[in-house]
Amino acid sequence: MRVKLSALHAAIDFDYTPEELVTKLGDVGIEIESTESTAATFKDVFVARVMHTALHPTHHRLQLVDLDLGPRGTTSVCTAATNVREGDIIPVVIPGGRTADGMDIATRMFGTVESFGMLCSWKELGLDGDLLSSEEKEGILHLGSGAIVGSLFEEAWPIGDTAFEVSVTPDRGDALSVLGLARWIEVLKARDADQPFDMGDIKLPLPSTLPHARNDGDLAVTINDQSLCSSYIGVLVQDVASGPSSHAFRTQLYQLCVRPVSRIVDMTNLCLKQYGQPTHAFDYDRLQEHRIIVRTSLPGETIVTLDGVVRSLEPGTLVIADAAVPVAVAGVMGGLTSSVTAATTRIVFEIAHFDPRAVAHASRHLGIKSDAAYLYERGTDPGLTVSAVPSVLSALVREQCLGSYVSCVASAGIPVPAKPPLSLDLDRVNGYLGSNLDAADMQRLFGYEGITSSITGTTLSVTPPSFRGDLTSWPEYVEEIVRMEGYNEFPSHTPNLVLRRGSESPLKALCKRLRQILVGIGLVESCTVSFVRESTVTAMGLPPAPLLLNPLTVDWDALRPTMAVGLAGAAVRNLSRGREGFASFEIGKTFSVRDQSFDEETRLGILLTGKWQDANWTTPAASTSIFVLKGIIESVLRDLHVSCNVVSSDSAILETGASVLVSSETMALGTLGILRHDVGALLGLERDTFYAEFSVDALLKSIPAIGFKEFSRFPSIRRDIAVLVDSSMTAGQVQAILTEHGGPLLKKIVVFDSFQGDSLPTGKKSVGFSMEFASPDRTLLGDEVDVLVSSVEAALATRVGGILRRTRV
Amino acid sequence: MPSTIDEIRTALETRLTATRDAQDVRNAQIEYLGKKGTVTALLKQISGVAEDQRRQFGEQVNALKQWAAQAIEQKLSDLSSKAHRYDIDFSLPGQLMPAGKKHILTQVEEEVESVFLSMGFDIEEGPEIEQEYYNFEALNIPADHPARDMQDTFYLAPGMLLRTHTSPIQVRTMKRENPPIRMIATGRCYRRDAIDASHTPVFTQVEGLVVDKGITFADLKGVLQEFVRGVFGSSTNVKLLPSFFPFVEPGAETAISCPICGGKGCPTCKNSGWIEMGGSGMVHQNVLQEVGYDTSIYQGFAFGWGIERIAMIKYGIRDIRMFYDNDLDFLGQF
Ligand SMILES: [Zn+2]
Repeated sequence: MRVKLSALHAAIDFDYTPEELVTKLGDVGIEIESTESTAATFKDVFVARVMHTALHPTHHRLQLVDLDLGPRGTTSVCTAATNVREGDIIPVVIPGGRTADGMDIATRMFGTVESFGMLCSWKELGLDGDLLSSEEKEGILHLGSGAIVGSLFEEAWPIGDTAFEVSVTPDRGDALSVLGLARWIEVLKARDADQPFDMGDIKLPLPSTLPHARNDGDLAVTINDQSLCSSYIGVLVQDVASGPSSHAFRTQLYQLCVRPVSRIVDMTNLCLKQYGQPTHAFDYDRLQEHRIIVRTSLPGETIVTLDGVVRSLEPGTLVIADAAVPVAVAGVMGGLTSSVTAATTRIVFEIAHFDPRAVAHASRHLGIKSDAAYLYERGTDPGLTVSAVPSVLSALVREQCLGSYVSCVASAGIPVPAKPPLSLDLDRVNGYLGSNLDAADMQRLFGYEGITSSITGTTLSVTPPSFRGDLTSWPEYVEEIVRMEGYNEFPSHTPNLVLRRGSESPLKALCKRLRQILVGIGLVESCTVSFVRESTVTAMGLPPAPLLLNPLTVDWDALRPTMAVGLAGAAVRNLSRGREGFASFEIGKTFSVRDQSFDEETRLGILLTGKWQDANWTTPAASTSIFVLKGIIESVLRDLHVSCNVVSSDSAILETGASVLVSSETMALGTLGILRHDVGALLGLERDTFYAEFSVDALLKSIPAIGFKEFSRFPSIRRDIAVLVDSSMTAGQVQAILTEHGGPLLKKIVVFDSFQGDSLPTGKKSVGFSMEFASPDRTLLGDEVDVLVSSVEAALATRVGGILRRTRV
Repeated sequence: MPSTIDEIRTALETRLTATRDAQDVRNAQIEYLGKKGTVTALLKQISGVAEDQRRQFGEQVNALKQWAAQAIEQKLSDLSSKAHRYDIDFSLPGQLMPAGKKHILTQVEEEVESVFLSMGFDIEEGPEIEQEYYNFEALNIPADHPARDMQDTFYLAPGMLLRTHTSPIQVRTMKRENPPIRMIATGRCYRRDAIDASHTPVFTQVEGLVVDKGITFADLKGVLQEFVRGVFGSSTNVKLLPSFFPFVEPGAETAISCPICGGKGCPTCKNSGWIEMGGSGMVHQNVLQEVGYDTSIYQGFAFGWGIERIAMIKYGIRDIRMFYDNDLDFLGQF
């Protein structure tokens, strides 16, 4: 909400500077997001009355304008403006003066005619265009009757001011008006002076009785459900003459940061902004039987709202109806059929208090956000404001010559009954705050806010003012104590808690451990958004991803079913900046949906492409490859003591023949392979990309308990063999034979070499194994190892026709 | 044959000159003079050499053996006694090692978690796809309450949404366990906010909750004080400001003394010396009642802060989007 300092000063006297006000209001929970000070930057601008206009003798696009400057005499100017007529009250800057945009004004010749100054539009005056009507922004500014001819413009228009942008939390509906802010300023003053809150300090008119209240058949108001509408007042006006508001009213609106529209709209806006009380104008003659009934909607009822939209009303929606149909959605928006038009001669202004929840529900259900609904759902004052605003409005009607005021027609429920008092236990409050306040302290603090209280022993009986609809339970009163005492006047204390160890879930601990291992290997962790584009997921050949009903953008309309999309995006970003590779992982949730049931799983994604370590003089650049990726997975699994078994397996996003399923002893863990090139292209990756995705939950379930195993403390003996086998055989199949025939002393096998081509016969390949033998209880002899190797060699020959290429000690 | 002897001698000489490693010298000793050593093999060949050359060959081999034994001994004694002067260009860079890095958000999250673990807080988790009930209703945010507007929400289906805060984990924990509760929850949250330098639709929160007998507003301040000192340094102070969050009452915005300027005023703290970090307050009665706690016995406090915000303040990062861009030039800095 935007409001100016001058409007606040008009509502209450106070000495705080704008800066002090910002700090002090912030201390009680009303945030001023920004302040903007304006001052008159023009010089020698006066209010003038047009006495006479004539065409320029030679320059036909110019007018000669004779001006009355009151006590300052008369003058004349040439102007190209077309909206200047005899009798207009307009601003003029005289020779020696300056406009707000910095133009110095001197006497100037137009042909044979001398011009003594310049007429001003809003721009030359540096006014806030947001707060002016479209007419006010066309050509020369018209001040209207009421501006004193001959006065300085800054005396006729509130120029020097400070605008505040007030941001209030949903519970501070009471601060959403000038009156509301003035009350909080009164609270600040009361606290500073250690005096109780005094509503009498508020300068805005707040009459508590309705003027000319009657209910004599001109208009009948009925409330069907008092719990949804505690009071309803219709202000009846006839002989309505519309038109723009007076100069004085418009400058008042300027201070309230309200843009003028028309007398009727301006009046309703003033009530809203100054008092926080929404009002609505009906065309009296368009109300069937001149009746207003506050009721809930019936099944099948519809309404055409002011914006021209036909809306079907959910049964039970709080509406204002005439004798036949709903004419407004209570507190949300009026209906078109009952709205004020150019032909309207009689008006009913509505001033009411509606249940915040009822308005909020209707506003949300219909998808209508209006200023009135915004206020109502945050809670308006069911007491003083409802009774004061009809008087204010009827005074305005007279002042602005809107029409002849007839009467206020009130429903039952006026005045609104006060809320019952609430009991506050002293010990409970102190026990909640960790404080040591006595009852008198609390009474004093409540007094600053206008909360009345009486003390009985250690109990306070408290009653809130009618505008504090937020005070309904004892902790809310505790908050007021804190607010008034000062949030930082309370001690800081560490709780007396039982000493114990904090714990985290095994899954969380595993995620931390995985990150540690992968970072140690040399991978960088990414964090990518969880959203993907549905069409991308479909094009990747993945099962449907959960869709958002209200995505922010079409690029993010689904939840990620894989970590690949985000990691690929991170890779693309880095490669596009000239990097030669990217090696990264991410641990996070992936999502799936089946039969409208959503599921999420913690997964680890690893993506490698290009070089992953730079070259320097000691080392060439390290390129990523499918075996770098497999090595990373093997290292991780080894670290976790999880066995690593691979089987060829097709995967949606990996190339055929370049994709394996990795399993532990008990379950599938994930897949790794070469990212399908068309998927890579879809994600913007042109080069070979290696991708693995693992279930962290499955990893967690696969981690075995670790116990000590006896190991050999004697020297081991190594034997290397290279064997020629059919190309169709895998290294793993050959190694299995080594394991089987090497006996229990064969401790470790390492593949040191694997190739085909060159000098080898076609259809054959060579695989080199390094075997390490050791005994747990003695030093092995070379000869006995040779025997073991011979038996391995023999088995290779008989089982797979392996031809021994060489052995090495 | 003589060339072989010379070759062996040259090879050993080169090897001994090059090495500074005693183990390598001992390996050479075995390779040349051991049972299966090169020189030993030559000695065995002497008897098989033709009579006329045997004597000369024998002398040469024995000379080689003697020289090798002495050279090796000499080298070993050099290595153990004499300080050799190296001449290494240390301006050359070392061999590159793998340069892995945890994401800055992970680093900060783990740091925050370790502070709370050390104070005996459990770390709880919950689903990111959440029921509307846990995200809103159970936290005293009824369907038509304007507080819902504070958190613009992504929906997946009627009643199913992406959690807008980690607070549903409070509810789930309290429904599962009886007091005393001392927990934090960290995790990813989602809000349908337009993207700018301080908003991304995905962000990370840390949520804290303590419920027990006699937990007070003063305790809240004390715990937050410990927390910010653990994360931002021991001279950091906490200030509470009135604010509103539907699930706490009294509610407070928490500000810390600006760790960048130490409270003197700088652009980051907009010259106020204080930086707002997140919400906190005493757990609302409605929330405790909703999970079935007896509010006449138990009370507690809760707080919820953004991990991104903590990282931004701690490291002076100006744009929240950088966390999710994963630019290596950014990630490598922390
Ligand atoms: Zn600072």
